[in-house]
Amino acid sequence: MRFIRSLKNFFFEKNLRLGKLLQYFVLLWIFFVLWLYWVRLGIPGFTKLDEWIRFINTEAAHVLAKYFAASYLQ
Amino acid sequence: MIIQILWLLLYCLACLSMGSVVIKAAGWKRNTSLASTTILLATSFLLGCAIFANVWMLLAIAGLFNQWVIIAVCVASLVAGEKSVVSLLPGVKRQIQSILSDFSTETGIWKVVIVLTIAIVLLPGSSAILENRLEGDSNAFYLVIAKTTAAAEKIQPLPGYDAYSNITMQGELHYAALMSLGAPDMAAQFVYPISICLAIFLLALARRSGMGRRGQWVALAMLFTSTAFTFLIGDGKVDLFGASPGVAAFFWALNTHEKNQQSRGALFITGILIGFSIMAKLSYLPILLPPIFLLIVWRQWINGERSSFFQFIKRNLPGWVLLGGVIALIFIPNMIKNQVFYQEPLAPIISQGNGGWLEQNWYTEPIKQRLLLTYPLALVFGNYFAQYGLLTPLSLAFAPFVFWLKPRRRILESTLFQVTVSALIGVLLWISLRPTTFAPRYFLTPLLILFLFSAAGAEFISLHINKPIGFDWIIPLSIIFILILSYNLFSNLYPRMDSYVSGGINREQYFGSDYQAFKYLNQHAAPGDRIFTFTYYTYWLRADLIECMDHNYERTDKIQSATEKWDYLFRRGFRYIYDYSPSNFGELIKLNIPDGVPNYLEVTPVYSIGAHHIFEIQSKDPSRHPDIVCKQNGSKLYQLLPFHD
Repeated sequence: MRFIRSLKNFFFEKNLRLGKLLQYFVLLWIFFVLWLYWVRLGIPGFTKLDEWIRFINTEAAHVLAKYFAASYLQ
Repeated sequence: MIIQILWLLLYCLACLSMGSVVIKAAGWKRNTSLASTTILLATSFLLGCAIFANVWMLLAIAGLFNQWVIIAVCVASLVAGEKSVVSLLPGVKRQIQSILSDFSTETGIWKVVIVLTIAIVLLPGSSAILENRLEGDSNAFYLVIAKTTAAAEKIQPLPGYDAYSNITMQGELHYAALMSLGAPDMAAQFVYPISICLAIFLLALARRSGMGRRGQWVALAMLFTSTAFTFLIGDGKVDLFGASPGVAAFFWALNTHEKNQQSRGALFITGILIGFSIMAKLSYLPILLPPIFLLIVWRQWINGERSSFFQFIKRNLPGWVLLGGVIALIFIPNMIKNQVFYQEPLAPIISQGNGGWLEQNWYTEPIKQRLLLTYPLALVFGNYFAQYGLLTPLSLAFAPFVFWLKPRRRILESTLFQVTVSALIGVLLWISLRPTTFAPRYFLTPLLILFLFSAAGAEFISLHINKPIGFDWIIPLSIIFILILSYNLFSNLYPRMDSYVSGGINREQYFGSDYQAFKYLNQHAAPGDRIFTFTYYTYWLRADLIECMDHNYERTDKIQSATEKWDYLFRRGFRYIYDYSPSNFGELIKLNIPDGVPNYLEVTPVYSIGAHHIFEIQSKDPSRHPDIVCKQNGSKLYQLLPFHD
């Protein structure tokens, strides 16, 4: 427990710069999860929002989604 | 429909009153900081459900499950518990006022989150004004056995599910009671108050884990954006009858340490809740008992007087025995049922031949490996057979925030840590015991409790860390995004309901093609006519026709020639064959209509729409008659009896 606490202390409290960097990673993680959920649901409707999402989802993003869908998410 | 809704409300009140009597009996007489009035109300409701289900089971075994007995029990409960329920209401009012007061101090964007969350909580409840939304298993078993039990006033193994009927039952008996009372279309809606109780206990656990109001709203949004949870509300399945008391048992287990003067009462309540949970869903046996016992011992160890290990055991052993005794007590009605029908009281756990369905293996080894490698992603994004619903992506998205949480000086004393570790053990136990039975509903309780650490992290970050990234905006926006997606999921269901209510589509179109086919049979078949079915889904058949349907031992797949098959079907007294093409597995072709039909029989196709086909069997030779008939024999129950002229 002490080991975990000291690690946590180092990353999230003492080493502020690294802590901030990790915040950006978490931000990316949140966007990634939400976007993947959107892809997974494949929801029809939401016409305007749907177009907007389609605009954001570039070709590369589609390939990535396809990869995840095929390889990991069945 | 209004009358049916009133019956449902009355039944809920009766459960609540019965439960409040049990809470009194458990020695829990007042609301304390350990259990608020809302908690006591929710606990009363769940305990009432547990007691009622067991009373109904005993009555149904004895053949006394009729409307007047049910009304008498409900009225007696209302009279006995009315005062204690009413005494709790001012406390609920105070809690609502406190929530409203906290709402006014929230920022604008969080107010939007709260309003949307409340709306999505109310959404499944609004379907209570509509009729049963049947899905798969409920159309095949859970609501069907309830229908036959209500009609026959006695429980019997369901034809076609002869071995499976040894399953532990709770929800089915509530459905049956509501059908008996005259609310068949509202029966499945009884799950909605059960789901609200689950939400109340999840929030109570969040509060006990140190979360404030905001964290609780996040947890509530997570719960109602999990389709693994929302799909189970009102669809006739019985999984939430197991999950809801499971979460409640986790909460009450926190009160079982000796610093709490009412710890014995808490142990008693925890025992009933665990028993109820396992009785409703047998899969909760391995995933609830070890984690909750661990949680109880952990709390007792941390909060108890420092003493030797043996003294600790000596001091707490009576409480553990009480807990085990109460859990065992809840099993007795089901044991009686299985003794009466199968001569196996411990079935399906210990059974000579009727427990085979417990051993389920859904996938091959490579899929199993991929599944195990992709936990927890598969729970949120998976698309596996019979998975039926996903967990909210918010739990996964906010999970990294847990690293920012500041634990107490001793992490082992943190309630959040204790609850999370216990729930995690429950999940790991299920994964190791049944790796391929991949459906969140089988181990929903620990999965939902794992939302708490994500919610705690999200609350902490949104309150304390705004720089360099504005998480105080990102977090509520993410929740709003997922809430809107979830509304869209509901909208797949609701336009159809809307158009049914407004008269855009009729009852046949709303309930689907099997409803139409069974409507034909209900109109044309005489009481007690036997129907040989090639389908799992028979809810819409008339109750007497379901009672007289084919049993497992009457399947014809072991008979070689078509002529012999027809001869056998006639002798067993079958008047109709109902075929739903996707379910017949080629058996209908083997009947070889019309060439395989014996000369003395006439088989007429009388209904054929889409995948649904009905054939009528009649004898051309008046001297030939079936060996058995299905009819009532001195009771409302239809039975197979030898043919007599």
